[in-house]
Amino acid sequence: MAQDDLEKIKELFGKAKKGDKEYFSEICEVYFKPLHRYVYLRIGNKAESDELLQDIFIKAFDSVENSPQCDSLTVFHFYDVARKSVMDWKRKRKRVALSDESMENYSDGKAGNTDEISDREEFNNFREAMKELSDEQQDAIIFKFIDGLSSEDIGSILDMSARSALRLEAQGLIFIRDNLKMRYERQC
Amino acid sequence: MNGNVDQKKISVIEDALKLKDEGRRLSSIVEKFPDYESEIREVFGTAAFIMENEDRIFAPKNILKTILSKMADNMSHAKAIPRLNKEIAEESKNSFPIMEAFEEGDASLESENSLMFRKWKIIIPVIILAIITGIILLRSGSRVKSEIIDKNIETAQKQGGLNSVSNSSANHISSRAKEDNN
Repeated sequence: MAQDDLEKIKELFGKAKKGDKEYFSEICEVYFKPLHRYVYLRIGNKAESDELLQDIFIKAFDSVENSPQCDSLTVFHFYDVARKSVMDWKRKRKRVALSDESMENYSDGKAGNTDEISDREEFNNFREAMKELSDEQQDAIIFKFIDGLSSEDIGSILDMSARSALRLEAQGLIFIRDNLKMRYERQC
Repeated sequence: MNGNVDQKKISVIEDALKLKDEGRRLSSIVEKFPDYESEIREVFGTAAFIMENEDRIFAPKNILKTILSKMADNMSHAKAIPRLNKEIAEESKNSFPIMEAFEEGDASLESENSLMFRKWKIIIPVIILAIITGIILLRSGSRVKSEIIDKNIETAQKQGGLNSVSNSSANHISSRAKEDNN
């Protein structure tokens, strides 16, 4: 998320905290893209991530409404709810022992030019590499390099110092780099 | 030993990332850690590759619309954004991002086919209509022609009749004149 977006969210939250409820929809709109990307990458299934995203927004606003004077309304509140919802989803998923659908269902397209196919392969390789990271490393990588948050912000979301968040990012990047290298070597 | 090397590598990458966050250029970061130049370059390349994937994940606005309408049902504070409808319409008109293409598979082909089908749905009735109009016009044209011909014939016949009448009356007058003379 760009710094401008964060500033905008802070401003909107300030107005929402003062009781101006019209700003909730705007807040929802600002969070939509980054949270969609986060949930999608963590879950890897479009239909389920769309559904979970709806629950996340409703849960996030619900918890805001039920907390006295919107005290829990921070810029990272939505990320926090999204993280917890994804973890819950994963736990339930493990319990019902469903097969991990992964992004493969997106790579079955028969048509497509060479660029599209290679893009698809790259994306799937990235997804597969991501899946092998720990949950926190995945969060750190997505928040930093997909959603554009700073290490300080990531530290706030993951409840750790910025340095620890930076460590997760470094570990994640090194692992993905090695994993992708290995995959390309195997493909060659 | 290997663990120490890994730890060192991780802390160098950590520092490099921190410097990058502070706005330092890659060349100056690499200068600071010359022993890890290739490592830093590769890891930064991986980061750039991940960032490219941002655009590959398409967030359709209709989901946002559904969320807002669901929230409006559940809570009092969510209001639909009218601008959203326009954006959704534009989105479906303009964008065809990669991820959408991934998940749709050969949706592009299908949509092309359906477009062709829709085109033919319009073109075929137009052609049929044109043919029918042509036939009607031709028929009415030929009818007009035959009417004209009929009229011509009629007038010609009338004229012919008049001529014969005038001839016979002329003959009659001339024969009366002859009789008078006699």
